[in-house]
Amino acid sequence: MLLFSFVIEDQEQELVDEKALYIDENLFKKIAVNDMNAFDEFYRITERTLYAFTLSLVKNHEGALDLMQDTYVKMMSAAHLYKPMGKPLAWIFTIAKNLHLSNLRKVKRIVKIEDNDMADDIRFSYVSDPEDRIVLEASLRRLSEEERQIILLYAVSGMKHREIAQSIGLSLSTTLSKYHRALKKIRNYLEGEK
Amino acid sequence: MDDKAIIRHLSNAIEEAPIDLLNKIKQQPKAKMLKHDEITRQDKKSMPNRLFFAMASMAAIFLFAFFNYQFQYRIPDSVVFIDVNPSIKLVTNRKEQIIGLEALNQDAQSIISNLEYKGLDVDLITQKILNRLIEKGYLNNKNDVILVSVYNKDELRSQKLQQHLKNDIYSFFEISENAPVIITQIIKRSDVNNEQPDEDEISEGKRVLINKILMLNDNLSMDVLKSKSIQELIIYAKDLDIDMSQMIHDADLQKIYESITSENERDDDGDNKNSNNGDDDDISDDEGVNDSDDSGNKNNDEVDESNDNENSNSDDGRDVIDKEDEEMSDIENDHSENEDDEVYDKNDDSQDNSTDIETDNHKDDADLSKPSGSDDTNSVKPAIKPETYADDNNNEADESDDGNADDDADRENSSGNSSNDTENEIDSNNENDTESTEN
Repeated sequence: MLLFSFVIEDQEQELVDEKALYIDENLFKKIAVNDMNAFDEFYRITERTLYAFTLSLVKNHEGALDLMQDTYVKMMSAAHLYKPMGKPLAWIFTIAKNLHLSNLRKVKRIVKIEDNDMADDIRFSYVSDPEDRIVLEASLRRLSEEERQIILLYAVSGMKHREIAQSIGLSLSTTLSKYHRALKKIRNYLEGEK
Repeated sequence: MDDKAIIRHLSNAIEEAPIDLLNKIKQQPKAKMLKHDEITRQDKKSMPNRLFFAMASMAAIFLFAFFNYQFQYRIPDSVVFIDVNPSIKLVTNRKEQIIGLEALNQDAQSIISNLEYKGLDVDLITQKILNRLIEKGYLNNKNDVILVSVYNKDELRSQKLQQHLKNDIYSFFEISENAPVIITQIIKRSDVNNEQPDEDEISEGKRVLINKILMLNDNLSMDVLKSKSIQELIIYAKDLDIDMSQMIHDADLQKIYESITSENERDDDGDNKNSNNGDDDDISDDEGVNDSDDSGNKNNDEVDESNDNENSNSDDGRDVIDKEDEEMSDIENDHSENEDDEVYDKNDDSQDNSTDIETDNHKDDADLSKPSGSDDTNSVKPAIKPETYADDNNNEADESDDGNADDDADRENSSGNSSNDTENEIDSNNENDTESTEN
């Protein structure tokens, strides 16, 4: 099964813009000493990827942007404490997820991941293509948190399944199975809508 | 919509999202944290759980395999004692491979010296030992005896190994004309005791056999029996109604009796020759039935004949013994010596002539431990009731005991036979009877 998944991964990688998401961990050291150029570079590399991740958490555009901002600020405050472990993106995602959970506790609202009720401003009006919007909304409605994370990260960041698994703390096999399940859900939803 | 399209649509939608946060982030004040909090903490997972469990499983499998190997191959399982005159101890693992080999007496040292045994099957080592025993002359006579004793905590495994070795040894000697007497026994856990001191230099197999005898006969003692040959011990055990069916084939048991008889006859022949030639070399007061047929002593002849007849008529030495006892009791010997209560008295050259099974050893008791063959060492004393046993070590070359009254009695009884013949035995038996009575 793993072998089969590798084959699938190679085939789909062709469709995604291969944005080799490589983050030099030394950037954190530079950011720690207020090197803005380093921060600019870091931001440029991680912007869309972090947005996809935060969007999968909060399921709305504005909330995703707020969470992104808080994540970057927190990162900058703790950049000097960062210990290189070979997974810089995983650290950023951890900060984002912890902030999200902290916010939820603050508002005293426990929202289940599988909750299909999204915020009112769920309509992604900035998305010009209706199909794009439909698919995006479908993924946010029908998928679990982990499934959203996996499929959005895969679609946006160009990361391989192994890297995604490493970043969000799942095993490769789990990541693959959730990925395919997510696609199937979206497909079924879209076919049902038709 | 296929999967590729879905991915493409998602990518397009995310790419179109208006994101302009860089300046806002830069403008926000940022306080340097002194240490990681619950938000920024970096969880150090040195090893994913799966890998840990995989490694733990492998370690568990390795440990299991290691200890299983130790249990199967390294831990002693059975102990086998081979007693001929050399006494050899073999230790096997559960796979019946030899993991230990020990010589229990001086003679055995030469047998096992330079013998490679580690990891070899017990069959192979047994064959090698048997070959060496034959080379050294310990198993060259059909009257030689080999005692194989098997010990295992599990009695079923003992029985299995006993049968296994028995089959091996019988197969080994199958085509041999001089197949020895083969005796096998199981040593039970209850038989194993540490009461006997190790300086006895007898193997556990022989000790177990002696203990079986001692349990049924209080008159005997370890000190007396430990010097006896295995044949003699077998006869003792047989007389005490110890179940011999698992230990020795009837044919081999008969062989023991016959060997005693033939030895006695040979001794008698030898005695007669000696008497004719004035040669007293093979004369012993302790001998069994001498060749008294040719002697001029009718009494001796009668006794001998009666003994011979009884021998031929009865396979059970006890019957013969009883009859002989009756006959013996009719013959008085005033020259009996008072001995101790031990049935076997090395120094008493009175003979037990009450059975057809006689020891014809010319040697001392110590000599009885030597391998059988021409020296009659392993020939067994007459099998009589223990309490009526005369000193059965009449075989010793106790010419030094010629001063014994038995000799006098012999001379009295024997007209022309200077050898110790039946009368001597009779006299000595009378002595023994007297002794036992006194005791």
